[in-house]
Amino acid sequence: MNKAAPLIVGVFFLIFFGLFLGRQVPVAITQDEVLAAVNDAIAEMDAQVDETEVGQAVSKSVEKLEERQKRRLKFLVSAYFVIWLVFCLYVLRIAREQSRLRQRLDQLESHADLSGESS
Amino acid sequence: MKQSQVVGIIAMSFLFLAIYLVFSYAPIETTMLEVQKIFYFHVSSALTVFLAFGVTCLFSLLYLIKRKDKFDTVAAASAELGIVFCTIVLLTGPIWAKPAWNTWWNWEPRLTSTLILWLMYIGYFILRSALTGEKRKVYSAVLGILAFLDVPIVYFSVEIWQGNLHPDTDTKWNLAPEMVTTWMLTWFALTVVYVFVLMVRYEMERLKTRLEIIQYRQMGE
Repeated sequence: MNKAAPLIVGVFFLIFFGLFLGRQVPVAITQDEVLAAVNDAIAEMDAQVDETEVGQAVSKSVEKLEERQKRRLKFLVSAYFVIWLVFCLYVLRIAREQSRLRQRLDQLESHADLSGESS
Repeated sequence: MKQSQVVGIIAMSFLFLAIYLVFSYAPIETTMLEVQKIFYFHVSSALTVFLAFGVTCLFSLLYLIKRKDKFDTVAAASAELGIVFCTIVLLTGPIWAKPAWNTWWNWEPRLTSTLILWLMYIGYFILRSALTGEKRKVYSAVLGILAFLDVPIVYFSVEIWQGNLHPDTDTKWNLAPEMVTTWMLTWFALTVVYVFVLMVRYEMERLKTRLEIIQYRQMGE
């Protein structure tokens, strides 16, 4: 078994995982963007509300949403990291054992050839 | 090119495709959002565990009937792979459980029976390392068959004990079609990976036997 196999799979995995993370709609929005959106919404609604208070409430909500998304992604990353770690460690153990056996077999076979020639 | 190498290339290709589908094709589930993506490898690993321990049970039975060493070799190799996949299930489960149930571990039927399954096959290898010769093969074959009895218990545990944390066995068919496709392909990919590693492990055991024969001959000379 090729020792590079888990590495190749790992790199491929990282590429797609990175693309996935990159494509996630970011919840993070700046304070100014939130306030501008709130002002626009209030103006459209033509309602009598405290713009600052609504702005603060929306900012706080966005912050919470952002925190929750970060937490979810942390769990997702941890799970796939664990899967790959277990898988790679097992494959590496097999690959090492296999190359050790092959080396030992080559040694013994060449030793057997030499002793056969000398006799 | 060796047969195992061909299977290895197929396994890698399907694994690549599975990763692509999980992160680029399957939609984000509405309740658990991004965390649900753990499902594809978690559940597929669990099903591969059932397959691996099923093969161990079958080949243990064959060994007890025919007494051929190759059956014992396949049974042990498959049990080893079953433990690897079961470890993945037991480690990814709590990572899913924390955001879903707000706890890392819960002694509910499926979690407990899966842990017992894992411990039984750890016991299988402890038994193998403690014994030698014919005794080792016979005893481990018996344990390989007995331990498999826990597999249907794990699968039907939610229905039997009315566990309310894990969904029952029919829930997975209510997923969106894209999710089912992704899950099926991931399951298939992990099955091919299992077959590939099993072939490699079997070749390794044959290599070990060849090594022992050469060593034995040289000692005789």
